[in-house]
Amino acid sequence: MKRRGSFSLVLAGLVFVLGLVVLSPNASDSPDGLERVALDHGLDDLEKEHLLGDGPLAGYSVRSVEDRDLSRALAGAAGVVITFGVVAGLLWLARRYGGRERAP
Amino acid sequence: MHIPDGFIGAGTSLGAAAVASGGLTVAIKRAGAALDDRQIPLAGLTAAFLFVMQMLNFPVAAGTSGHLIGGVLAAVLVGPWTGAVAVATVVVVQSLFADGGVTALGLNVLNLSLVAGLGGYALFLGLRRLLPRTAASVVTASGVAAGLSVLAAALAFSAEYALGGNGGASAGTVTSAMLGVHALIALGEGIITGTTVAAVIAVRPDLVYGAALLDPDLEPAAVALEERAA
Repeated sequence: MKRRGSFSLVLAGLVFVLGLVVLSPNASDSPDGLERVALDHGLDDLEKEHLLGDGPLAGYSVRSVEDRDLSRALAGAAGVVITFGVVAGLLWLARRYGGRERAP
Repeated sequence: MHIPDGFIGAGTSLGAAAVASGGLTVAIKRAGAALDDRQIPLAGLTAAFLFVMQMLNFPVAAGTSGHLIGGVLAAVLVGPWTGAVAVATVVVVQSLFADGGVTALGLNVLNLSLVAGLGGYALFLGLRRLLPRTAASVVTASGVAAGLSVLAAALAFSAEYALGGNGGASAGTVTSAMLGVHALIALGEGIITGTTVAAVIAVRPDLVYGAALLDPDLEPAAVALEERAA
């Protein structure tokens, strides 16, 4: 039974992901596919003000940080950490309380 | 491809939310039953990777960009149910950043986690079955399924628009526009997915759920699980 640990891989992976976060200010600013269709066909004025549009992390920027790139990178890092935590937590709970379904 | 608030009417949005909640509940249960503790950090990492990749828009045409969804990628790496949970979590977290509407969450989870993720994985299984049992087949099947999953998600949005869209443009116009614009984005998704799967297979094939049948050392339980799923 081959069972190699994945701790170092996960750690390396997270470092890589955070590295990508740092690159995010260089990402394209152009509207994405859905936004493009909305713009081209007059749907964009349908868009309502986002309920969390005034939130501290709205638009992938940290409100109190002035430098745009740093702000975006910090928001991205926060998102990465939150996402990792929520997924790991959810699955841990699912395993703990749903594990009984597994065949012995 | 995150639908903002206001595009789709309340009825359709609620219907989508109901389907999304149901699907997600099933996914969470099945993920919990199939996972072992060691795989949880990897699932978290996959979701984190998807989150950042969705921030990294790449240009596809003048004035248009695309980004990875990652539904098939997640499914091929950590299994379809865990993958679906990962994508859904990314979508929900993104709404905290005002990316994708809060009332549109059901629609976005449905289109990206269930249609692109689970549906895309079904396509992956079908394609893999047609190909010889090699790593290259897993890579190819992932890439092609990923590309198709983008178009599937685009069609899902078009259907939602047809059912409850608030705009003046006709459903037919929106559908052909969505498919046209997403053709190149689908190509990008396919390339990124295939490349990433290839990279992980090269270093740790045991960590690629979709390649389980290729690993002679893999414990029989995992292979049995694979064969049951396939």
